[in-house]
Amino acid sequence: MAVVRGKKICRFCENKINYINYKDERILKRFTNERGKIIPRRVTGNCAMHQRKLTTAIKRGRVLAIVAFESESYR
Amino acid sequence: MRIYETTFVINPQTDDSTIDKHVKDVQEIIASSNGKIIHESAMGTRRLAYEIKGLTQGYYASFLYEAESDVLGKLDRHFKINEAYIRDLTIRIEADPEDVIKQIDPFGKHGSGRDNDNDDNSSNRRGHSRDSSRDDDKKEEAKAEAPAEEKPAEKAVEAEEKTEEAPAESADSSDSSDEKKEL
Ligand SMILES: [Zn+2]
Repeated sequence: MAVVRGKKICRFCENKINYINYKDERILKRFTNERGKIIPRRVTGNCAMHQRKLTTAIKRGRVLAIVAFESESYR
Repeated sequence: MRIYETTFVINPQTDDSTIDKHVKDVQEIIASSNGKIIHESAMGTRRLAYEIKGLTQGYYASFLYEAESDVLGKLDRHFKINEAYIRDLTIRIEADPEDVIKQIDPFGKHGSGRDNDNDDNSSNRRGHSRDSSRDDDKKEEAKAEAPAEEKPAEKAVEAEEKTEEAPAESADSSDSSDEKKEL
């Protein structure tokens, strides 16, 4: 994630995204690491509101097997 | 009347007409609760992120609709008694349905119009046949696990918010001027 320290822009705000689609594998993957863990917003630069929405979306995606649950083994 | 979105996964190891029927059944249940379908998306057969009942692929379909709330119980019962559905999720949509539709169909149109870096990420992943045999047992209970998992993760987010604000404030009070010039 190419985010310069101190200059964080929320990608969702930037793109005026009000709803995060939990079926969009690409978005969910972009904000999880290779273990499937949600990347903290201190790293990605998301604002609190969008991080909250993203977290919900990722959890929904996990239930539907669109993305994996956090796991010890690599996917 | 409320707006809901129901997404479900059907066992793809059957013929197309059977899959169609399973999709239509859901549609009929929605209709029976005074439902109006706002958007339908058939995402088709996709690789599952983890194995479910020994399956590695599933047929995904989703309805965005407005219906009476009794639809929830009906759908729940339907998904429960029919083994063809391997996963289902119904959520209430509080956002503007227009916003939802804008972000829908990422598979059909390939992307939701956002920036395209990291794209190779997903294609890589698709190529990897995930060796999920180890976490099979875990995934069996995926559903039961989901709510339990909710809390720690949310706390983590909150905690993170706090740690983030703290340094910003201290920076403001003392050496913030230098730091800001640099950036
Ligand atoms: Zn934002």
